[in-house]
Amino acid sequence: MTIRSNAAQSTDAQSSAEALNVLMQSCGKGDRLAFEAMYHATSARLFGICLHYSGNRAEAEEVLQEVYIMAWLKASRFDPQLASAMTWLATMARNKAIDRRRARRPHDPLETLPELSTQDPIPDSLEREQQGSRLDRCLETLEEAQQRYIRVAFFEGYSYAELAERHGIALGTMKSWIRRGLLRLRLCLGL
Amino acid sequence: MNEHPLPPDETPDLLIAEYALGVLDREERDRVEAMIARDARHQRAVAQWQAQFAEWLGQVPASSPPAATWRRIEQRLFAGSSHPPSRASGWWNNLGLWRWTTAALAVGLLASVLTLQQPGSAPISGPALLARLEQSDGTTLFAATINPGSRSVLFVNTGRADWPGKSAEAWVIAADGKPRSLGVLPANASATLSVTPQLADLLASGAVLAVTLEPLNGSPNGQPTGPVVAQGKISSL
Repeated sequence: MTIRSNAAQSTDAQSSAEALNVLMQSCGKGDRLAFEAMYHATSARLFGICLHYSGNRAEAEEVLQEVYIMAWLKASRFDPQLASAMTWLATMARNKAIDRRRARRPHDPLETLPELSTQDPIPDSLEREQQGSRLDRCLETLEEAQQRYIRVAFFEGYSYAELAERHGIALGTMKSWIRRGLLRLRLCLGL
Repeated sequence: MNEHPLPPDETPDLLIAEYALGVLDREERDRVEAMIARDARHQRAVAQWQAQFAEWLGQVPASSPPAATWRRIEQRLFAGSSHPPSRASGWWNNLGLWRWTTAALAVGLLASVLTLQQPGSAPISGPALLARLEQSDGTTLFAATINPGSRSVLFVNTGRADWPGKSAEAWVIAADGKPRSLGVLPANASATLSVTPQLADLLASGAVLAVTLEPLNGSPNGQPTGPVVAQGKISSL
């Protein structure tokens, strides 16, 4: 395998992102080839997200179908200046999978909700240093509990009440940690 | 540093952050969505949070969906159209019909979309160029997308694309009939090929893209030496 510089990789990533934006805009004009190409280029990542958040293969597949159907129908409203196509799709997949899981058993005792990995999914420290996203750098400026539960909330996709119960922490404390953390994160990120 | 007093629960900035993180319950989310829908500034703020969190979503491991998923999506979206998109038939062989159908679909779809919502997409910075690369039996093997304004082509394989012991190489054939290499494609994966400005000029409507089988790492002499596995014309939308 050819070794490539980080600069070349990031240029490639940018070109791919732009190509996906073009495909999404072509979908917005009704081009089915663009839609098929878009599906092939993004479906493994989106299915991974659906699986992660729904914890159930059959349901993840249904969610995936809904995401692409919705993407096709909403493609004319896609605005690349607001979000990249990949982010747009990935966010839609996450939201739909979470919605589905919550709607499936709204009154289930929390113990029976699918067990998602609570392990820290951050790549090893070297990789992390190289990738060093702004979000991770800003997160590191927060207090430990704030860092931990913002990550846990994101990767588990639970509401405040569910998080508090799952992790045996008072609801008020959980909310306070996450809210303070988010506000500091927002300042750090300049949002 | 001392903690600042926590602001009231309902500040839009905080609600938007909580919404993007996904910690609100159904009712609260509906409320935030209604708030966002009325305000372009809020929409931008949501998108900015989502762009930050996209970094984390990118860490979730990818997993290939079942092969039947794409057909189900096609059926659910297009089964009612006048030209059912059956993949096996010769329907895709007929480029003229395909174009006609696409145009008809586009018009129909846009009309139906416009009745539901306002058009809001930003214009593309140039015409989008696409090519469907077909095998000799008419099955599509690659879809190629040319980025307007950037010198690169995205190749997406829509079928199985690996040949043991060989490399698939992409070419552009312009009006002079001379094939020029765009680069080697990875096995069974989409790839963005960067091209020189001279080559970029050739990637225009009417030019042909082709993929040939070459020795590993590509043709040794800069000219295609192996069989053509797929080809198709570039067309603008």
